[in-house]
Amino acid sequence: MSDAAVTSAKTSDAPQTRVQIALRKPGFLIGAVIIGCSALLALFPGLFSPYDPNFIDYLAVRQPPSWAHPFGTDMLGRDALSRVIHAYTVNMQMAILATVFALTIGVTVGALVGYYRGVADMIFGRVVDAVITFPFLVLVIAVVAVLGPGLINMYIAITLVGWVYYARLMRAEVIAQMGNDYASAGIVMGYSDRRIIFRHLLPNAITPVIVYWMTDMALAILLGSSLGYLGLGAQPPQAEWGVLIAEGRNFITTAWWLSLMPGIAIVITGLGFSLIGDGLADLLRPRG
Amino acid sequence: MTQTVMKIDDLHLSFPVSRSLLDVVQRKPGKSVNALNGVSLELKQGETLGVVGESGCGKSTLARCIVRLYAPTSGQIHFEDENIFGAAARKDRSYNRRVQMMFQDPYSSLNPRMSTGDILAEALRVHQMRPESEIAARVAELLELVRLPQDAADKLPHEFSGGQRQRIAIARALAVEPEVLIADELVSALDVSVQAQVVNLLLELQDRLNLTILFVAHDLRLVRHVSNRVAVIYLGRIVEIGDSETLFSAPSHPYSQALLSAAPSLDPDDKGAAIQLEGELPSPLNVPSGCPFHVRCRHVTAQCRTVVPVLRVLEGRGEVACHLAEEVNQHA
Repeated sequence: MSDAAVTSAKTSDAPQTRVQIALRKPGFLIGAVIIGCSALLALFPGLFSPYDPNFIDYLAVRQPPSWAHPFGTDMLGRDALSRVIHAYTVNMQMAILATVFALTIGVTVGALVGYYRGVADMIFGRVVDAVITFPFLVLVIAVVAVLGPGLINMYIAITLVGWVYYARLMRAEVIAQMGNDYASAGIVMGYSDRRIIFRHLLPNAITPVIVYWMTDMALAILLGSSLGYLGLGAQPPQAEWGVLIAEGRNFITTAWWLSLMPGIAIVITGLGFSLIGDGLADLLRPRG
Repeated sequence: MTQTVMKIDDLHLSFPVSRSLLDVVQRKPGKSVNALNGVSLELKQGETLGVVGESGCGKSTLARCIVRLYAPTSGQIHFEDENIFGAAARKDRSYNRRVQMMFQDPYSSLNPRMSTGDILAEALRVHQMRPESEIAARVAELLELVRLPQDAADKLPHEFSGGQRQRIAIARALAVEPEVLIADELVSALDVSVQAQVVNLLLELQDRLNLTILFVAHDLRLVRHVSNRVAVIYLGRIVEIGDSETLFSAPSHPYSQALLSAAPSLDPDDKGAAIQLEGELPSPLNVPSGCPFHVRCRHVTAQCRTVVPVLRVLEGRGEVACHLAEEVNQHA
């Protein structure tokens, strides 16, 4: 092997070894497998579900789990397994859509107020205080109540409340990073504020935000299905875990599997995101 | 007579201390930390001006003011006859190019997520020092200038030692081809053996590139080694400024005398008739009236307690801010 090949192999090795180190942690590996499988189920539910989730069969209502229907059937004779699998699409979409806008807005606002401080920062502080005083769910329900139930409105409501938590975290990290001389060096160099904030401070400040994001995705699924359960999020006959649990609620003593199975799906997916978040904290930490 | 590149005129800087609710209720006046209390200084083309003083005297604050990291409360800095805090000058990035700074802590002064090559290339690109096609070659040239191996360009800061990082910081500052370098405690975080390497490199580059350097440090022997002129700062004021050799061999201000006698000597016959200073550096929250040094000075008189001494030329010495400079130096 030539010298050049050796060095290029070395440089491409470095990030790989980091991933390898992370994968050696069983928690991160399990999390990655769970989320990988969940993503597959969400993207191609038709490949994995044995029946049409909306096929109604009045001759087979509320059947207990069997080989033909592993999760049983619901009050309309729909296959419960197929409905749980099809719900992956909506619930995984929640994990992303309910967090990604909050993340983007929060990171931008947090970085800007952290960098410029001043009056904007003081106003921001009051906004944070006001939002954090209320329990998250109560505030989201209030917004949904104003906008009306439905998935889109639910995403808007969660974003309106959720960005504050990202912004608060980002602001604190940016302020901490500003204490480093590389930020001062950027100013002395005459770099634009935009360059200093987004090229220098942001990549160094974002790690805790990413880790929080993973946890928040788990919380978003939980929140989304809570709202679905309350009838404020996804609407039946849409297959969504919260909706499924709510549908099974009336039969909890006779057909317990209807509520239990989607509940287990929520727990497993939430666990997957949390484990990944934990692993990412190690993976993204800068060295040296 | 060499040309003056930078003129600092009566620079004051105070930071307000946040008041507690109780202070506001009791109507106590707001306090402020007076970091600089009227610093006037001229920086001449091609010289190295050392700035010394004990911790908390305002050395670093002065350095940071010069590169516009802090805006002074009052006073002016002129760079080639232009006020650098003027509205037009603030927008002008060429000042940032022409006056560069190197920082004390090599572990925080480099972005940990950017490779050396990226750090240098960014400076070159932003200031359009070279066309895009020549940037890689210029990065290689800069690395050679500060004697770093060529493969350093692909490495991240954590892969380097403190001395190497400080050389990267020097390369970054030199990338934009500045005329003035502000070195804020450039080597105080390094081992003594590495200090010598970095300082000698800096002096060699100064010679080659005709740089003007403001060298802020608390290591007196180091400052003597590198500087042509030295300014002694006490509580945000220059108490003595003059030719380096004269000042070190015969300090004129009582504070300079005490400061220099506190430095360990290599002369075995020097049993150290060290001048013991009484008390501590007064808090910059509450600067003494008159001469700021009067509370610790052996020669204090009534005049010292009320009248602020100004810098004046002392025959055969530099400039001293002391009412009793003549008498003090007769006895010495």
